[in-house]
Amino acid sequence: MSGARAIAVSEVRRQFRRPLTWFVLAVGEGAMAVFYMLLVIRYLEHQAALRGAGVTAEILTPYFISANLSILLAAPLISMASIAGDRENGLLRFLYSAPLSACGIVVGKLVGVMSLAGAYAALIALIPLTLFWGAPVDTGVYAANLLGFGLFTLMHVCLGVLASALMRTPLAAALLSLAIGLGLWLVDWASRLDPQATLVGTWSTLGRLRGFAQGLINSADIVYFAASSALCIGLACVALATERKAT
Amino acid sequence: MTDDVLLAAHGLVRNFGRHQALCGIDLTLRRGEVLGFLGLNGAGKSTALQILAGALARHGGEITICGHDLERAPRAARAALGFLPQVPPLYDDMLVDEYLALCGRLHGLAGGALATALARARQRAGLGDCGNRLIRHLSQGFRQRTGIAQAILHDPPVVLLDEPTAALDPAQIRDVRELIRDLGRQHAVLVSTHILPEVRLLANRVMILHQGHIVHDAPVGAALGPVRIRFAHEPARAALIAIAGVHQAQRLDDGAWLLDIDQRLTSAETIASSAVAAGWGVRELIADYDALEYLFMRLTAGGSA
Repeated sequence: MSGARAIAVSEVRRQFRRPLTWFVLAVGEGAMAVFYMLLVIRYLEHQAALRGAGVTAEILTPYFISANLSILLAAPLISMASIAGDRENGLLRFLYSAPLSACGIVVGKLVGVMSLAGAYAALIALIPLTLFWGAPVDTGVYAANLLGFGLFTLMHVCLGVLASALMRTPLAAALLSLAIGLGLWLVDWASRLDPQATLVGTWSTLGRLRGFAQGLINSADIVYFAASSALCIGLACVALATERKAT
Repeated sequence: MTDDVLLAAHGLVRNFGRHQALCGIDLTLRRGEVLGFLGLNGAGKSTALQILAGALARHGGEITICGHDLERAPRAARAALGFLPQVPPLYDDMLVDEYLALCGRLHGLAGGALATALARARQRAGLGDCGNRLIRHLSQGFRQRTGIAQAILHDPPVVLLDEPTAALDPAQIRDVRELIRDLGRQHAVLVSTHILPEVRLLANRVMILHQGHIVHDAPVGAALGPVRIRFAHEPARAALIAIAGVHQAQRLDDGAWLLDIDQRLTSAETIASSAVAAGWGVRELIADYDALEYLFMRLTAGGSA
């Protein structure tokens, strides 16, 4: 896997050299910081009316739900150029002529994108730590939210890399991964409108996150996110291997 | 001789939709050989090179590089190959040294071996102290040099270069030609180019590709060559072909004749003597007419593919 490691190292460096990277980081972190501040202000203003509901339920949980939504929007931007950008610039053919497997290319690119997404998610996850200074926060709920947020981030990065492996241009890749990500988020509404549609509901990322938001760690939810991530990466490997052989 | 064959391709086929870009071409490349690959635009040269490098899929045929089948042992085959495509494959947002280090690592180099290979490739490609420059800021010539450096970085036995002197200034062209000659002593080099004098200067074998077919494959300066001659009293074509060693006679628009001769059987002097003896008279005779250009124009007379 030395080839994959070489790609990963160079991708990490390249990610943090792109202006788009810093733009996405700045806008995302800024938006989440403002949202966090609004949650805190609302909590302080309406503390009496909340009838004893704590900061965990009123600030932490909605904050992490929104953090997941911000990853859903940011992940397509972060991952769109990983493979489709190389394809557009003719550099994928260069990688095809190198002695490394299609999976090596995908894994190397994934590590590069994950480094940026990881930094983005870590900074977002750090913001609510300020609650620990002045309020009784449920650390179990925080840890569960953190785990759900991490798994959601991983899944959407993998989805972004898959879209990038399938599409010809970064823009098309971003639109595809955004459409799938939003679709998986919104099917939760469909299952709510129609209680019979339980099968549809099982695919909903929002539905899967609800347990983590309440501090419940369900192994089925972990398997869902992990398996979806692995499926995306597996399909990306197959897509590149097929392209290498057939085009 | 078989042991010296570093690259062997048989029956390469490639289609783009209904258009057949390569129609079953065969190609061999031996150690110490510089093969000049000629053809009109669209003849299939770049397609052939990309297929040989494993960068483009083929629809038929087999490729063996240093004894490794590109299909069955792709890693070993690709590791033995250095490839410069027509457009150098560069990451604009990387430093030259970073990019070359990436290329080296992709070919399994690391540590001291990578540092040594990097310094040598930079020196051979004439990159000087460009190592810390952003690729986006390089001139076209230096981008080409960086592309050449990545192709030779891991000292591959087989080097494929697609128009290596494109975008270079005369001094750079001279340096790159010297580099190719140097590579040709130990390695097998395939150079695709439009520049006929370049092939004459560098290659010891020339291959002409036309409409997806190999129409010529012979050592440079092979026995067959043309003579341009103008007579005082024009003879009939049949009379010219009747001269021993003359294979073809073609009348040009300006009234001169191009004679395709076998230099093992006749020479320009013999033809001049025959013409004088026959009473045709000789007004003009060019014995060292550009054989390669003549051959190229004759073989590709059907226009571009």
